[in-house]
Amino acid sequence: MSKQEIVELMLALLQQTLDAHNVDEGGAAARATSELALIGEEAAVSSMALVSFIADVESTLAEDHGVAVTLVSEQALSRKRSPFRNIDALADYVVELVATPAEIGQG
Amino acid sequence: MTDPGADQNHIDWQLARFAEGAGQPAVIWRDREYSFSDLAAGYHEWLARLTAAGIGPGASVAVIGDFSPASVSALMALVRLDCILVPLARESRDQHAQFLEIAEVDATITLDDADHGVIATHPLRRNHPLLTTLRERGEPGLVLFSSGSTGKPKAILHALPQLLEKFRKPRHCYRTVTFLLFDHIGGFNTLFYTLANLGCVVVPEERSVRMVCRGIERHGAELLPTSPSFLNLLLLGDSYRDFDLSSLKLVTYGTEVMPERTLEQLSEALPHVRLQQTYGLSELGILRSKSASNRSLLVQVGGEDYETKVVDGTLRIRAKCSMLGYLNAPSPFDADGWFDTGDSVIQDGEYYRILGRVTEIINVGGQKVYPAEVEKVIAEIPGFDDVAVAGEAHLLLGNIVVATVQMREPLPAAEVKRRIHEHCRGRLQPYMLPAKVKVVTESLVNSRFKKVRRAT
Repeated sequence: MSKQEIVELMLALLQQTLDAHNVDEGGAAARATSELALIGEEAAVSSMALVSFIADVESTLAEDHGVAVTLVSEQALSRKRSPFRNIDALADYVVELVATPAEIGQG
Repeated sequence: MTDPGADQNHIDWQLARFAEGAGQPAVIWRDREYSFSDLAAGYHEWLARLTAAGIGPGASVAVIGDFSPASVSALMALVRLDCILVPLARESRDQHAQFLEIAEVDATITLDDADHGVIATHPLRRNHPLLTTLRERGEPGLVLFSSGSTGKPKAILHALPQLLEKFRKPRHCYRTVTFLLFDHIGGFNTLFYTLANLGCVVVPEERSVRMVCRGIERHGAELLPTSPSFLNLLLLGDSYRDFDLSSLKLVTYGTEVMPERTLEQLSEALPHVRLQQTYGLSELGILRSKSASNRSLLVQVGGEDYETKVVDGTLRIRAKCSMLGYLNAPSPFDADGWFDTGDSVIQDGEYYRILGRVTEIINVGGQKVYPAEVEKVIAEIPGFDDVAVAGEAHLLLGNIVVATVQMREPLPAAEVKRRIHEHCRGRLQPYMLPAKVKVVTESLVNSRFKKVRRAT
């Protein structure tokens, strides 16, 4: 899978998360972009929604594309620049994991 | 005033009761009736066979089988001989070698399909201090194994005189389906309660919805002691409608949390039946209980032999006839004899509402999630046959909620998750929503009709 395909897949899933979040909060739905902050003070999603979104990314990659990766790991969390900061960074991280067989989880 | 028969051996007392009901059916096995006289005759045969095989007071003896005329007679003979009973259901056969070792059995009685028993001896005695205590007291005992759903099975040793004594107080007499297994405290309780009150046990050929319903119809069973998971399967299949269940008077449910939807549907499906929650533990026996109503999950538990209290939201019980201890684990009782049930409860006046096992509570970022509470809301969604909610370790939140949905015609997990979130929003707190959803076609219930909640 190319990075662009991964980004598109994530954008669709993130938009679903944001729409759902919007229903909860009663505010205007944010539009999913690859630069939208997912963590930190400016985060567009709650930590619960982020975890749910990441689980969606993992299951969609596995079920629809046969790519089994574990995104939340000690390795990911210990990086200086978090791969969860936005979709662009997360897509880079997936590409990296897929290219490094040792890091690929078994689902 | 003391009961003049209080010192009488329970089996002698039971045999005197059998004489009162001599010709009445005591056990219905393979659709054939066996009377109390038949059981008494079987008992005398077993007494002779066991004695001839050198089995006497203090021997630890496993009976491998299910409820049947021979197993009931053999159990009675073993109690009369002051043996230590180790009932083992065929369903747990993979663990039998381990169980025989832990219970230090001297002999096994294995019952075959024709209800013939074979006695074999085993040199496994190591004189565990608790077994020695019982032998020195000259009392019969009972070893039960906990289901081990949260680790290795624990071997629970009871002194039988205390456990059996309560059955001498006359209670309702029922025709009862022996649904709970032979090696389960509930099954053991059902058997001795029924015999003491000259009721009749109806043994289903297998513990499937169809065979249990067929047994009720064919033999006019009045009482079905069962689990919420079995009742869920019964309502799901619709096959119960093929049978005449009008003889049923009472359905008791316990061993796990009852989903509200199941209870509601059940009271609609069987409007003539009283629904009663039961509460018991292998370590303490079965408590007397009373549901607030057919549709209520509030239950009073206790009775004269039990004291209850709530500490940190968890039910604690002190019992007059609790077990002597575990054969393979430290004593769980505190200095004053209280037992922590591990069941999370809410107290409402004289009633408790049981929320679930503390070990099954999911801690999501410091917030408590009760699987049964989430399952209840998800179960409202049409098209789902069953749902089990469990926790899964997660580096960001400690744990996340994972829902496993059973569907006859499965949909993609993403679609199922979308439906769950859509339905649960506003009904559950955001942290209670499952972050992961799995879809399966096979049943979420194990061979003992308890829901399997483990996520992986």
